[in-house]
Amino acid sequence: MADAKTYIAVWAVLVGSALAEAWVVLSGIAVNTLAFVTSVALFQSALIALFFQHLREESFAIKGMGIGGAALVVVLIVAAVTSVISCTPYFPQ
Amino acid sequence: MVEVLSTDAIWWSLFTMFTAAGLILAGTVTLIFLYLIYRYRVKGSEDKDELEPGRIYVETPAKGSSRLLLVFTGIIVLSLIVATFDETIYLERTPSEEAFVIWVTGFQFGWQFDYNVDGETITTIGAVVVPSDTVIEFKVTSRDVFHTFGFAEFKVKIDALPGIVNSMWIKTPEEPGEVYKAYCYELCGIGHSLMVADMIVVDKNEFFQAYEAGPQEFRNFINQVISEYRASLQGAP
Amino acid sequence: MAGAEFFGRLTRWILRWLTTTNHKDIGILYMVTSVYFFFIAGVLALLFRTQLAMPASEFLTGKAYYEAVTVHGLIMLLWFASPFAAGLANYFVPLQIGARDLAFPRLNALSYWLYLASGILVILGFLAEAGAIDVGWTMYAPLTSKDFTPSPGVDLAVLGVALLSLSVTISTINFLVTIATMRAPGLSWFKLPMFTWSIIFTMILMLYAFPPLMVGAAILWIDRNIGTEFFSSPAGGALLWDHLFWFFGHPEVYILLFPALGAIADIVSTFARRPLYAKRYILTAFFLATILSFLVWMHHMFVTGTNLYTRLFYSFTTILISIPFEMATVSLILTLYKGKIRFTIPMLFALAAIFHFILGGSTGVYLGSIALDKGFRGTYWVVAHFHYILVGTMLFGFFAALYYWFPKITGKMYNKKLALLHFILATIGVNLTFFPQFIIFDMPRRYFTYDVPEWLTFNQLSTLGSYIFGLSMIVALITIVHGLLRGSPAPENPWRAWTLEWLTKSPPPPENFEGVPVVTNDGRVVFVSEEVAEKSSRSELVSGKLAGVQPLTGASHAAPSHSHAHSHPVSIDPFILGVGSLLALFGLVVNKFILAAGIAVLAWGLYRWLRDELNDRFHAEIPKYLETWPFPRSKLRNGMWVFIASEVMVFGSILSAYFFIRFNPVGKVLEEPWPPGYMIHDVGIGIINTMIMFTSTLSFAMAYLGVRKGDNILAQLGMIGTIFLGSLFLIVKYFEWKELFAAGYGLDWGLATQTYFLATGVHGLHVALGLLLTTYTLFKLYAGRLGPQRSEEVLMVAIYWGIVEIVWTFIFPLFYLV
Ligand code: HEM
Ligand SMILES: [Cu+2]
Ligand SMILES: [Cu+2]
Repeated sequence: MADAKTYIAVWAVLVGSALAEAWVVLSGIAVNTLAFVTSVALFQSALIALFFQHLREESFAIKGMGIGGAALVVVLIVAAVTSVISCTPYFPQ
Repeated sequence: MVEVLSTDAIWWSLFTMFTAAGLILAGTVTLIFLYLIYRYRVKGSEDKDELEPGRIYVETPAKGSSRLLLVFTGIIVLSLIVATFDETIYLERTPSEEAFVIWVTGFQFGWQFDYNVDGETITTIGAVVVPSDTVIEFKVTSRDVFHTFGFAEFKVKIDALPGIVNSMWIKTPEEPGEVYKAYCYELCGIGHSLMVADMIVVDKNEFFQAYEAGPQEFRNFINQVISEYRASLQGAP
Repeated sequence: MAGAEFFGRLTRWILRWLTTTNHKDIGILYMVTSVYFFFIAGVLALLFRTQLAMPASEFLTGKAYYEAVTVHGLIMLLWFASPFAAGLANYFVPLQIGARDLAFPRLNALSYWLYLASGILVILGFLAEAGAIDVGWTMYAPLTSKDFTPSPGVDLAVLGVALLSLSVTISTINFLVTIATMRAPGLSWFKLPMFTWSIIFTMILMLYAFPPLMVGAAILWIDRNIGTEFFSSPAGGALLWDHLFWFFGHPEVYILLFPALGAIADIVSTFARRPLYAKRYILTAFFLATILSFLVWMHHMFVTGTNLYTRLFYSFTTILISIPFEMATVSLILTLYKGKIRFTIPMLFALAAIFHFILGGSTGVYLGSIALDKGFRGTYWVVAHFHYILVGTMLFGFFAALYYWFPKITGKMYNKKLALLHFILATIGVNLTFFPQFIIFDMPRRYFTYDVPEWLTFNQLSTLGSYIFGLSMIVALITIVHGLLRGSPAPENPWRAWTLEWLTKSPPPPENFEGVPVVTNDGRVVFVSEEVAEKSSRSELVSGKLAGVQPLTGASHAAPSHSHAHSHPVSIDPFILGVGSLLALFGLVVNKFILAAGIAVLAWGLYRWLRDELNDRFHAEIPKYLETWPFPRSKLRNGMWVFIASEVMVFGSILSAYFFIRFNPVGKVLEEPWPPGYMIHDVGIGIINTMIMFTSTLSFAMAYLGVRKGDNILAQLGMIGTIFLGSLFLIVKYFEWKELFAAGYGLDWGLATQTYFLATGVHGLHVALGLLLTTYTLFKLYAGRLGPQRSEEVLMVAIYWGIVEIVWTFIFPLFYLV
């Protein structure tokens, strides 16, 4: 059972990471920005799920449902992107 | 130059292989199925068994022999996969550097074919003339919606997508004279069933002679072949 | 006098069906409605088969042919097959797990009425001047865009599909929660009958597969009506639709197949008088097929010319998926070994289904090879293959299930001779219709005319077969009506089967069982009264040694000492909401006033719904003796998590559209490449909104803390804070949108901003819904309905806010920063 302190601490990490993320991207430090922001978003999502949605306290079956969905989304994105990326654009006159 | 296999030959060999595997597997299973039905049928009104309602019967435990069948299936199926990969890659890549390129554009409702002769584009609609015994590469795209371009006899097809060009190849037969139908294989509107084009195979030497002679010659040649073919259709009953 | 009495009885009868929430009633409604749709779609099939027998005729050509084919496909798959299975599941899953009803009876009724409304929407298309939807059930882009298909019939169908997806999602929540938390004591997962298991897998598939379809349909609708160009511009276009559609479309075929296979398994085992052979293999097979089914959808895109290695991977998985099905089939067949096979009508249908499945399944393996698919794609081979699965296997499985359970549902036996005639005609019909199509596999599908002489005879054979099949359906109808009117009374357990639904009367009473069924450790089923069940521990119950409990013997069992009548609450609200959505969506396409009326009806229904909710009219705890492992003993929490899984898929689909469009090389040629977010959007405002979002969730967490501790002030403050911050978020968003439009970054600027509007728009809708939920929870707090014991109702909202926030953690960087 989370108490007020935990909630606030998680909130602080979220806010801090969002600010840091924006700074890193805008100042151009990150090499692969897309990969970087996606990882930050995954990290923040995990925090929110575990603490604000209390996923921590749920059984493996419930954890599996959400994680399963996330995995399928990854599959969908990977297939969509890899399949299209080598297409040759062409417009007939 | 290495011998280029024709697309339909490759297809039929794979088809035979899958059919053989299917017959062995599905055939065995079906025979066992039939035998069991026959062997364990109940005649008349014999109505006794030791299973009483009011109990939950969960399963009959598996025997080792059925596991063997599973392994056997697995091996056949996996070998099918492996076998088809080489063929697939072969069919995907135009096998000859000197393939003759024809551009195909699908539209509602027909096929447009473009030849490039000395930098000039020669266009036909609804019919295409190709040389015999040659690898032809079709560069396929669409002007409006999703179509699929393909030949029943050559067992190949490729989607015609707006904004994208795809490629597909065939090897024409050695003897000229045949006419093949190109169909559209994706529902593209109310005229979809009418998106049929003719591919006329002419003698390789004649074809390339006209081709080498320049755009004007080539256009005349193509038009003549097509109108002769259409006239021959008219003549027929 | 008599007239008035008749009228009174009629109204009561109608009202009963409009207001029922009992799972058996809803099951019957589902089955009857889906069979009705089946006949519509079947007649359409006979019409276009007639055209194909005389290809030179003008009987049904062009637009009319394509309307018939499209509506046939759509209705058969989405409004007949799945809903018929849903009807069976509604009726029998609670019975098979020993429950009194589904977890959320009123939501169940809502699913049904939304389903009916969505089907009516599609059919209404035929009334439109430009006709019903005619673009194929696959609705390939960009043919569906307004330029090519302006007919409102398409809009109606698209909205119908979206509404159906909603109904399906509600069902999945209901069934998964029910099976997870309401199993009879002692009925472990492994002991569940195969039919119930097949429904579990079906529901899991639906849960993850339908959201992409819903998103696809929604995008298609805004494309057609608001002016975005996700599917009409080649930057998204055909391939984007293909991915979203087939990500749904492939699992959909297993959604159709599983329930029938499950029923077939139970039926084969019952009539072979053998417990299922290697049930653990069958379950493993179903499990593997469920997972793999999400990894094969690109086999529908083998000739799209996209990346070869991606397609090779999907070729591999597709051929692989045949292994689990082979496993399941072999197990079914080996169940016959040492059996005592009785050839009843259900058994005949089940055995024939297995035959068809072997043929349909092995002809599908060909399609998993890219090389072979180059020949087969879009031909009658495909039509023959999937009809062997859909008609030969699935529909035969449904017939088997229908005859198997007919005595249970109606309390009557059917006439065996008539049913046998049905079986014989159907078997001949199916094979005569679809086998010739394998022979003329070169013929392109969806052609209303052809001039290849060799194809003619086979097409005519096929048409003849379809007439015979049509005839068999008339015989089936007669059999059913005859059974209902003239059938002899059915005993409780005419087949001497051993699953729970046979241990109660035929038809079962509203509360299903007298007493609580308990499966004892030694596999017997006993019934104990609810009082005893409440008082005893689980181990006492399943030991089967409780005093005063009669073991079940034969067909009748002594009623336990006492069982209280469970009055089934009725509610008209689901019906009202169904009517409201029908009016609203129909109005959206044709007329503003109907739309307004629909919204009013919806609001009224929602108000009544929430009022009942506030009064706890439908509140029911899960009795402590039911099996719930490994799930929490809470309907709300489980239900919310299932919903969250579907939300993950909704936003995941939008996210995949984002990545697809961003990486599509065609878009880069077509318009300017996707600009970095900070060039269009104001990062500062984005950060502010991010802070607001995070803080509002924190505030709600505090509210939850308050409720748990019984600290009402904290709870109130927290909720008010969330409402305030959430509204602030939306207001900021509103001004942001306004400014974008003013600065020329509106919808016509290109797909980059359109994607932004789509993502933030859907997210904004979720925020709005969250605000409603929170306000309602605040109400409950004021009404004194919340307390530490009922804090789960608040946790549920916290879980909801969590997903809204998670989505924002992706939207912010992906659109504002990179
Ligand atoms: C009464 C028996 C049936 C007959 C005679 C029949 C006949 C046909 C035929 C000939 C086609 C292809 C039309 C064309 O490509 O031009 C077709 C398409 C289709 N059928 Fe059936 N069918 C029957 C039952 C079913 C059932 C029970 C289902 C599913 C549960 C089903 C699902 C489909 C689907 C999905 C399509 C594809 C529609 C499209 O291409 O957009 N059919 N049917
Ligand atoms: Cu077409
Ligand atoms: Cu598929």
